Amino acid sequence: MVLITLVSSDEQNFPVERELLKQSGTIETLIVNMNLDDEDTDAAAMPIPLPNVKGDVLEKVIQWMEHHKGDPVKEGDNEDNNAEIVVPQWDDDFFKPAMYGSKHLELTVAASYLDIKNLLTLSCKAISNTFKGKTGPQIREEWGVPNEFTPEEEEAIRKENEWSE
Amino acid sequence: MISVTVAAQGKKQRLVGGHLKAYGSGRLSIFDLDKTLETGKPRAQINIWARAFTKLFDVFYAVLISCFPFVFTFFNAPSPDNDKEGTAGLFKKMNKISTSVVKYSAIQKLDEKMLGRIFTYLDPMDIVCCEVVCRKWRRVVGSVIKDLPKIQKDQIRFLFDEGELVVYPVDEKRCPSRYPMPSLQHTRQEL
Repeated sequence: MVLITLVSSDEQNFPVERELLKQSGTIETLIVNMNLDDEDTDAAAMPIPLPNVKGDVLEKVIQWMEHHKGDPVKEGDNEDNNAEIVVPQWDDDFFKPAMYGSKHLELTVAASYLDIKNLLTLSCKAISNTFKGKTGPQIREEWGVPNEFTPEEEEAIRKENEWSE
Repeated sequence: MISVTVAAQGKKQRLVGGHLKAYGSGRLSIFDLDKTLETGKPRAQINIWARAFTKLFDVFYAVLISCFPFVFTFFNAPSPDNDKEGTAGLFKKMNKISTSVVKYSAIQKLDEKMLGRIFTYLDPMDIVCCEVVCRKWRRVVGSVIKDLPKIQKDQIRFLFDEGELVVYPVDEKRCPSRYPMPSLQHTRQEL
């Protein structure tokens, strides 16, 4: 088992199995380009710095990757059936504690940066699920977004979307 | 359900028919969004000072809370289970208070590309609700509207030259059904 060390922005070291990192497009490309797979190079001596990812977020990402070890990676974006994607129970429980906070959003941004397609899809879907079946003011309240529309503007928007009611 | 194609083209802004998927051609520009947007503007400019003042006050209040947390937590009688958590619980509470006061939200920090991506996972009806949330979201929905899922409805097309009315069903594989229009003479007699 080959271990590769990831270094988060706050200088924490995370030794991770080589196999797990196949899920991350960014790291996989880096490993291939730097020939870290070669027998001669000492992979453990070459830590990969991730200046955009904080330690606690990276820990979560690794935790997620361990659970989804060996999952097939979806090729390309098939945008057509995005609405039908279902978040599995395990992932739902995984995302839930951090939902409505910056932690989950940081995880999503990290997934985008590390190019972990499945994690990005699922965490985006989990966020979008919190908007489902809610009205605008409800979403605003749940996510703590201030209302910046004047009553006139609000009226104009309501008129424009009248057909949907 | 049947509706007439209402879609617009040639405008950069979001268009009225944006949430509907149109079939066939014969698109018609029927609505000028620029005009409605301008009506809201003068009022917004007047409010800018009021808003700046409240923002300033919020920030001042938040600083006050973070400097003297005990003064504020003193008033909220702590419940027994909160006491067990000790300082961690206190910090959590502080965080909660300051977020509610400054009206700062984590989701506002997300960049527009990511937000647009999240919207692609929604139904058209939910997207309409998201549009009402804030200006940024509204702008994002407008910019990615092409990639968002659309409401699909049967479309009617009037072919006056051919004297025909064609109904295009939502299911594109099905054949559109054609109906002849009554002749002008016939319509006049009816009237």
